[in-house]
Amino acid sequence: MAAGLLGLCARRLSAAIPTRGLLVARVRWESSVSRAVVAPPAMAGKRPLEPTIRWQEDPDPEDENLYEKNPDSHGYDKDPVVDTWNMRVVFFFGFSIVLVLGSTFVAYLPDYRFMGCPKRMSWMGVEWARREAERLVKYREANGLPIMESNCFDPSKIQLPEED
Amino acid sequence: MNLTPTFTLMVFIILIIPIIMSTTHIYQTKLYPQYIKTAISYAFTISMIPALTFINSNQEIMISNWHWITINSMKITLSFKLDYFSLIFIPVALFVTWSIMEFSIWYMEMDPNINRFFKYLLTFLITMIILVTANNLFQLFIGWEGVGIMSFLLIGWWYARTDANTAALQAILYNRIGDIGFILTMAWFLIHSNSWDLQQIMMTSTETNTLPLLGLLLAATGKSAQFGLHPWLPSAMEGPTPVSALLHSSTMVVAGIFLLVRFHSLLENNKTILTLMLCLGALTTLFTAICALTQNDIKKIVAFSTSSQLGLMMVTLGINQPYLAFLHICTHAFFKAMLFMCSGAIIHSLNDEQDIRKMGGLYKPLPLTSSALIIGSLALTGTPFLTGFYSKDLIIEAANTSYINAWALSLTLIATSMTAIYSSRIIFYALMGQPRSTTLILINENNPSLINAIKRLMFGSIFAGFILSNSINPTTIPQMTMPIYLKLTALSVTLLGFMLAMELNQMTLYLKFNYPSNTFKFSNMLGFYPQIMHRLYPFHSLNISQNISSNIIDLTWLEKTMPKNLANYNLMAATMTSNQKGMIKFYFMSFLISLCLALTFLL
Amino acid sequence: MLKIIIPTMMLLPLTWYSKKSMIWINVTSYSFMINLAALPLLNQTMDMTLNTSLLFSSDSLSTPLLILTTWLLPLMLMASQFHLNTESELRKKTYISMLITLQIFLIMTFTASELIMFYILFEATLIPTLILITRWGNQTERLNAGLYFLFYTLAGSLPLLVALTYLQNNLGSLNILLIQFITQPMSPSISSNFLWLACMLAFMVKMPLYGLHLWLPKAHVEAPIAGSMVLAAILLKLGGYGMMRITILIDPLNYSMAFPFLMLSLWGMVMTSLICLRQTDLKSLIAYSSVSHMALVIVAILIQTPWGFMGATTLMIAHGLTSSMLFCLANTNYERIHSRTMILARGLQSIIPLMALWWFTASLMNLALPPSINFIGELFITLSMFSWSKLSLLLMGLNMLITALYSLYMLITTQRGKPSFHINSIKPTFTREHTLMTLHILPLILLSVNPKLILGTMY
Repeated sequence: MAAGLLGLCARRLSAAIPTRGLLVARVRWESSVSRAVVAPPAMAGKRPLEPTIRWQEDPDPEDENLYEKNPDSHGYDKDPVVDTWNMRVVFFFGFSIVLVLGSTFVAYLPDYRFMGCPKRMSWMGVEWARREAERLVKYREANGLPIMESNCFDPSKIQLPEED
Repeated sequence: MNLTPTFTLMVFIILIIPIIMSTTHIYQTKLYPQYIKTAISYAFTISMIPALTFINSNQEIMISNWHWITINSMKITLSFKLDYFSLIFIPVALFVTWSIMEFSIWYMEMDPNINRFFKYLLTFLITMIILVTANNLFQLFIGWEGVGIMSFLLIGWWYARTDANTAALQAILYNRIGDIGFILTMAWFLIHSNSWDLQQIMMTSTETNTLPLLGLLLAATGKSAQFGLHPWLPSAMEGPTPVSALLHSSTMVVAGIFLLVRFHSLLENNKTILTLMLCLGALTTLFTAICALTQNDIKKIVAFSTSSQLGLMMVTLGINQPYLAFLHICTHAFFKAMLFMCSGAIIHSLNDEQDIRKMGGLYKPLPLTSSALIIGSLALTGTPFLTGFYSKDLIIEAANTSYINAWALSLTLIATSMTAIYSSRIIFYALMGQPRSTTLILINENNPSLINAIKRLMFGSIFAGFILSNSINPTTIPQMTMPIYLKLTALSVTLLGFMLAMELNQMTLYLKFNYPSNTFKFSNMLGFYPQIMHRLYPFHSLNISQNISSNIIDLTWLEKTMPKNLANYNLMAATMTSNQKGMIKFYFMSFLISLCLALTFLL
Repeated sequence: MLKIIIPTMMLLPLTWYSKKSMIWINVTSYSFMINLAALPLLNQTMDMTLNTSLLFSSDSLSTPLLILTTWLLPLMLMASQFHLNTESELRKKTYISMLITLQIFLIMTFTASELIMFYILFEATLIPTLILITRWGNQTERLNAGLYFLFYTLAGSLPLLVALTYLQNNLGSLNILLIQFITQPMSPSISSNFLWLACMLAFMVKMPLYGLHLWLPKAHVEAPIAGSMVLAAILLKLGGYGMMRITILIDPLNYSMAFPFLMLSLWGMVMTSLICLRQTDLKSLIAYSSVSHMALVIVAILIQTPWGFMGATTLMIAHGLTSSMLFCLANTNYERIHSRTMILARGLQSIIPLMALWWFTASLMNLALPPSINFIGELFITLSMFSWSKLSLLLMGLNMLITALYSLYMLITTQRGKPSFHINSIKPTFTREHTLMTLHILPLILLSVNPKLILGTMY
């Protein structure tokens, strides 16, 4: 409590000093409350030195730079051999295997979700239908048939029961 | 065998090759800019083939090739529309870009990242071509956003400068407001036409609602810097001059107008939207012309004149002459790109001095640039038989002879005369009189990549209008007969502007300048628009986000009501219910008393 | 499904029996192979699920999320390799084991076909995440963050347990494949309203819904890089996944009960984006942008249209990769500048230009540049919202605008401008970091070529 008050007074005084033109070193700070006279060295001696910033982030004091020991470092490990191998492994498995092989595999998969969703929409797989339609159009163009007909089946081939 | 799509795709391939090449060692050499320039000139030559086929036989084509996705009942494919607009625009854009690339070789010579600069410009060009050839809204939007992002990158080219960064952000912000309109249109057409293909939209929406068209107008307003969303265009002059020449005069900013031209078959039946376009365009063209009058930065003047011409194009769309607007897009590209290149050459020669008050007398050291600047300015004002005349004169005539809002017409006419005023102001201050620039400047315009580029566009500014309007049939036929005074309006208004400007200059040049009048301040401070809109709204919205959404709601209300409150209640409940208070003496005492009592009773 | 789960479990002995120098190499390569093994699940030729057993099944909604989970494990390992360099071998192994355990739980959560099992595993994912946050976080606030994380999620999901027990009693089964056939429309009484709330609240907290999102910025900011990555990329998506699964059970009430939450999400989306504009802390900005994007997903799921569902699934995958990449980028900055404050990292483009490219791409993906899958997702959501109410476009459009603004604000503050003096001596970038970013960005690009794989059940 007293120390806090002292500190406050000291700060006020030191703010007033420049206006009065006094030298800082000569001032003996006098508290108006406790009538205590405090010289600056005594103040400094009483309190342990505290760091001005409480260092919270990143408790590790030194920042390790991998490039210092190994200029060709890839950032994986301190040991250059392990570092290189780790890089190679990541490139081989990550890029060559998963991305290249994997995306080739996915690209050549058969039609994705062939049937559509059963509950809400029940149309056939759209891609399949499109492909079939294109085939049909090609076939019809090649054979000189009209591209579209109103009859889905050839009416001559349908045998209807006799009318009674 | 039809070669139109083949040649157009070849243009694409030729343009993409240098970008792929940037992964090779060529990207590290000084030759890369030359390669790009050559690639563009080849692309230009090849793109002339479909254009000439079109001119010869009126052949339009729509191709749709790679099927991307089918969602429910909507199919999206990669599809290109090679019609009047795209087939004519591609060669024009390529021609202008060719010259600008050559110019940049000279202008950006000292830049350590010149190769990257060229790659950016080329990427921009590709996105622009995607935009004009797109046949569905999705693809169009890819190009639309692509040019926006490339403009962000190119405006912020000197990224260590704060001004460049804010200008880049401003451009994206205003464009993004326009994008909301674009999304609105996409959503509307998806719901009502079940397609984003242009031809299907045109077919299915015969009686069009105003809402999607308003969305289109908003999109065009953002991209083409119409009134309300215009401040980004003059700010974008923070970028290098080739960027201003390519993006902010001839290609990117006309994308908005181009979009409306694409959709003109929907717009032409809707009177509300036509009137809106007319009034917006008239307001833009006048307002930006007023702003151009008192600017001292040479690039800003040219930028405002671009904005003014964009307003004129919007007016043309408003009087339902989309083909005329498109013609103006094409002719405008030539002389405006050249004007920017001239001002770039001047700025470069004067050691990055942009203020026209510190120029003067440049016609002696820079004869070619000066003559090009004069030709460009004359073409801009619509001097007969230069390029600008063929579109601008027609626009004014068409406006004069159509049923039109008299207010909008008079605004347009005033703006037209102002074009002459600010053009003559540039010529007067920069080229005539005594040099006011710093001494010891080595002015040299003998670099072939500068001279050739300017020369090529100079020929374009003289002849392109004639060639374009002579070889293409007018599709919507403007009024053919009119009284002589209507025919001469455009010319006389322009002449009036010239005379006024010269008179005023002669009169006031040596007068003492007291303090600026209010009208001067209005014009010089861009109508106080940026001061108001760029201070008030960001200030308030950032304040709201800090005070209300962050401090009050997030850090106080939500924190206090749920977690902190719960913790407090828990604490309270814990203290209320627990018997343990740590009063050892009391506990022992009660234990002792009860023990004594029990013992007493037992005994 | 065991062919993915058992190899993932076997990662644990692999970790513990590996030599000290081989830990990372072994685990990374093996987890890449697990990802490859998961790819055949994309072969969804049927309209239904791939019913491999009674307990596990995968359909076109869970498969992309599952593959994202398996893809993220090697990436997380690569991302944390640097900051674990100084730790002891035992701690490294524990850390990796936590990540592996988390992956096991996540795979089982996404493939569980029984809702009760789904619930248990959903809760089980909290444990490794909590350990990651509270043990390997950087500051003392990590304990507080862990507390928030645990209590928000637990308190939100306990009602779900009650609701699930009740439903199990009523319906007789909670098998996801069965419930769409046995479920009955709920009666419009007050108690069913509470049932709806109980079912949705757990996932809304997890997503998180605006107002219940306080745990998210804290947890993201305090977690180590792998924790932030997995939180943003997958754990948030558990909420969306659960919501889409459970809406079948509580069907007709969605139309009346969803409105307040729709409004709250639309409002919260704009509010959180606004908060992003004022953030000085890089990780916190990314975390708030996650809240804003997830609000879009909530909106899309709540209005229950095919386009909305497709947009939600797409945006979940897209945002998973994008935000994970942004966190990695933030971490590379943090490892050099030792601060998350954005302004301290300005001008990095002139010092490490290639990293600026990744920043640029990630920001573009975050602001949904067409034709990226982020854009596809946002566009579909906007479209479905527009067809629901035209006025919603005002808020959606505003959000688009602000998203673009804060993404580019982040880019400009960290990459552009003059470099300040204290970053003159930072170390250059590593192959590891560039590989990490490439492995994030390549799937995004590949998927935008073929987006139907992630369009979900409604495609």
